[in-house]
Amino acid sequence: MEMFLDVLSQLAGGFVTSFLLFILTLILALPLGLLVSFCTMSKFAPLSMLSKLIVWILRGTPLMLQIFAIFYLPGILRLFIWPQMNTGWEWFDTTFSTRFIAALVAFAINYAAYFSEIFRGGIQSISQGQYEACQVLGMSKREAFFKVILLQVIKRIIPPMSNEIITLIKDTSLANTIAVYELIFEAKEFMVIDALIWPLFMAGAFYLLFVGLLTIIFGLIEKKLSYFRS
Amino acid sequence: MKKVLVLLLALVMACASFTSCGCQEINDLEKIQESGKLVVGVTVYKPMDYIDEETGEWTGFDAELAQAFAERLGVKCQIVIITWANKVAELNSNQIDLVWNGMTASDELGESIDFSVPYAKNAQVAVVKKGSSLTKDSIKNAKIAVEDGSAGHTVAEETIGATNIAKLTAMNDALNEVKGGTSEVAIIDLTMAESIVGKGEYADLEILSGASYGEEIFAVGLRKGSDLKAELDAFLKEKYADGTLAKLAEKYQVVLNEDALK
Repeated sequence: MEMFLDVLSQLAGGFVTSFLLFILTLILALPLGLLVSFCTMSKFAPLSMLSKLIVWILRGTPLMLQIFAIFYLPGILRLFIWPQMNTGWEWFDTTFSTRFIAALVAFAINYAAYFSEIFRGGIQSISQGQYEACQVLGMSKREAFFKVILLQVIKRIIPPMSNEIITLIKDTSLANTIAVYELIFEAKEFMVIDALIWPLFMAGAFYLLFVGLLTIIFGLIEKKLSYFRS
Repeated sequence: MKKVLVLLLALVMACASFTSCGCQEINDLEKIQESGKLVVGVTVYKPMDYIDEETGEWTGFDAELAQAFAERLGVKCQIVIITWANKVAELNSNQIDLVWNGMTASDELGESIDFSVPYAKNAQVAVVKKGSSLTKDSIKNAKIAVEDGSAGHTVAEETIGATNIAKLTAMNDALNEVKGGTSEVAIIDLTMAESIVGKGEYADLEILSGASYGEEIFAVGLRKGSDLKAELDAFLKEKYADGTLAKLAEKYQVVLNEDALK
């Protein structure tokens, strides 16, 4: 029983790191993804070409490889080393380690690439007629986008976004390849140190419960957004 | 187009630096004195580096030595857990200064990083289920589990000449394979096997007698051309001469490589 509680608290600590990686990735990747989708749809050819190239690279290579490259390449090329937090508050400094920062950057840009394609699909699914109607009503392009188009886009992209977001919480486990102390890393430590296998399955339960929670939240959001029934 | 070129160039440079000989002297001593800390990369690996359950501090044969070495340099010793497969990248990207983790000094590894004086030695052993009918000669055709890229992996492939090899990410995973019956043999470190096989979750496993391979030597890993090597070698020889190493070796059941330390 004591061992069980010990494992539970250690895994909970790992889950906090996984969760922080998850939520911070979302905060960074959502606006970044929108920006990239605008670049991809830009009429200025070099910009849209460049953004398509970047999206291709980010979606076309394994996330694990991207994490590795973002953490190690700057140092190997003698460019820079990821900054070390030094606030003196031990929990903060160890949680937001150089490894965590590098992983966060990798997740944010990788997910921004995926999100951008979902945004683009959502935006382009709105019929041209609506833009024309807005124009007739004397709205500016900006007004038309934020007051008319965006609300419909948000509604349409909720199902594919919830898919990506559920994948994200499980993908955070890839950060263990650069020794970020997240949930899977902590569970594996029990295997190495105490020769215990079950903590790894217990870690699975953490993901499962969290994904269950996310599913309920997305269900509620979909209900709330049932405006503009067509 | 320019950005594409820059990207490609960066990739080429990256490949080059993975393979470059790095012949120039690297001023690690200065860098360490300046930052005030010696960063040592480890994995949790009894009896070399592990966390004392009572104090919560790093301990072990290698951890104690690393701390003593940092003290001698007049800096703080910071021990960080790394992913073993990434040790060369960790060193070359300056994330860590030393790999001090019962590391086998192989020729292949020696092309990318430098080694200290080899201070200890080990062998690879075969672990099987208790009562298994396998022998040293018959394991060649058995299902063998190893840690990918470990010394045991090389032994299984080259010395034993096995063809049915499962490559796992850790030595424990290899043991789990044998325990679970998905593999028949695990090739792992003698030091590790002695400390966990036949105990706890692994009570039903045993070391196959007579199946000991490729004695190997342990060394500390440094960046190629690091000026820290001279300092480290002098430190190890001094600690051998004054009997500190022998005491530690007895405490943690490590076999010293006396020939090199004399």
